Amino acid sequence: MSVRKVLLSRDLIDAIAGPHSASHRQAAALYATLLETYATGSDLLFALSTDLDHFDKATRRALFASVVIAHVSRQHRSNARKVDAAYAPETALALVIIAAEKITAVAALGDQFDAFDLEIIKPLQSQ
Amino acid sequence: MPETNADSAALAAESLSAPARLAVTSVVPSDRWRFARRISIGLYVVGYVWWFVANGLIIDRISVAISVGLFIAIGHLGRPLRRWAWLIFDVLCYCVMWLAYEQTRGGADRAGFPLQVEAPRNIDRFLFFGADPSVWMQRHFYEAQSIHWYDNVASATYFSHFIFPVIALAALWVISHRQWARFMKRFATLLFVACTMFVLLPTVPPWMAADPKHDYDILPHLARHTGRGFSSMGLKGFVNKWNTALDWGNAIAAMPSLHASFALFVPAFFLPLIKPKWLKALVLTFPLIMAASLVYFGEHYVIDALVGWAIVGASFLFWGWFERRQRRVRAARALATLSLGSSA
Repeated sequence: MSVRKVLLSRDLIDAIAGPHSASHRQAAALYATLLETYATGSDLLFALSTDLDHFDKATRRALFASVVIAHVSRQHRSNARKVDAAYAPETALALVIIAAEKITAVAALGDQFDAFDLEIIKPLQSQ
Repeated sequence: MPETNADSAALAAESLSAPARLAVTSVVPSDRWRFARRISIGLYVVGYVWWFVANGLIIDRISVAISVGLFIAIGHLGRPLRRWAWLIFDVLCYCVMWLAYEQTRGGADRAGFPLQVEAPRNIDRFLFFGADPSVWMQRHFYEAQSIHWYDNVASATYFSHFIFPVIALAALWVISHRQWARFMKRFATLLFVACTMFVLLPTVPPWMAADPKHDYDILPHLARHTGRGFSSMGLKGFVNKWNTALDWGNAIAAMPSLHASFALFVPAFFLPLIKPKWLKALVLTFPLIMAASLVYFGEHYVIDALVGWAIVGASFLFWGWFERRQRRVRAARALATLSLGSSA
C-alpha cells in the first residue's frame, strides 16, 4: 500500500496535451515514465480539477485516464488566497491540494515547487 | 541515472532534492476544523465507551447505522461540500447493500431450496477423522457450572464481529475515501456471494442440528453459550426494539460463516500496512480464534468457516486482479493517446 502520490503540475499537463508546445516531447516522455509506474501500482497520479477543466471530456478520459482528479472546492480557493502572495495563485492552490491530499511528489517543468519539501520530478534536458 | 543517448536522456526522469526546503504545511493555512474534529471524535469515543458499559455493545443494525453515521458526520466536520455529497451517496449505497443483505438472508428460508442438514456435518467428520468438532470441543472444554478464561476470550471474539468491520469501515470512510472504496468493493462481493449461498444452500447450524426441539437429531446435545463469557465480564449486547420488530434474521444462514469471513477480511485488508512479520502472524491468529470460538459454541461447522475464508480470498484475488488490469488499461489508453498526439 506504500504508493507514491504524484501531482502533475499545470505546466506539465499543458505541455503533455499540447503537441505544438516547445516542451511537449520532454513532458510526454516524463508522463510516459509516470504512466509505467502507475500501471505497476507504484504511483498514484493527481491533477487539480482546475487544471483539467479546460480540456474536453474525451481528452480527460483518454489522455488523462490514469489521473485522479483532485476537486478544488471553495474552501481550497479560500485557503489558497491566504497563502503568501509571493507564490502565484495557481501554485498556491496546488500547495493547498498537496497538503489536503498528503501528496509527496510533484512532476513539473518549471521550478515553482523547488523550494518545498517535496520530491520534484522533472524531465531530463536533451543534450 | 545513466544516459545512453540524448533521446533516452530526454525520456528519463530525475528527482531533485534541493537543500533547505520549506514544508508545504508551513505555507498553507492550517485546517481550522481539525481541532474541532479531533475533540468531537474524542468525545464520541468517550460516549461510545460509556454506552457500551451502561447499555451494552451496540449490535443491532439500525443502532449500528446510527452510531456509524454520527461518527462519520463528526469526521466530516468542516470538509468541503463535495465530500458531503459523496458521503450521502456512499451512505445510500451502504444502506442499499445492507438492506439487500438482510432481505436476502431473511428470505432465504422461504425460497424453497433443499435444507442442508447432514452434508456439513459429514464434511466435518471427514475432515476430523470421524469426530464432530463442536461436540468434541464442548466435551473437553465446556462446563455448565463454571466459566473459564477461554469462555471469555471466545465470547468477546464472537461479539467483536458486530463492531470490528464497522469500526474499520467508519475509520476508512473518514481517513481515505479511496481506501474505503477498495474495502467496500471486496466487502460487498463477500456479502453478495454469501447471500447467494444462503438462498441456494440453506444450512442448519450444529446447535440446531443437535437441538431436540427441531427433530433433526444428528448430533448429541450442544450448549449454545455465546453470551455466557461476555456477561460474566459484566458486558452485554444492546439491541433496540426497532431491530427485533424487523425480524429479518435467518437461523439457517450458516453456510458460509460471516463471523469467520469478517474476522479474516479486516486483518487481511490491513495486512499490507503491517511491517513486522511476527505482528502479521499475530493478527492472523484472530480469524483462527474466531473459527475455534464458533465451533466451540456450536454456531458453525468448520466447513462453514473454511468456505467463508475461501470467499474472502476469492474476493481479494478478484479485485486485486481487476484493479491491476484497470490500471494497465488506463495507462495503455493514455499512452496510445499520447503517441497519437505526438505524431500529429
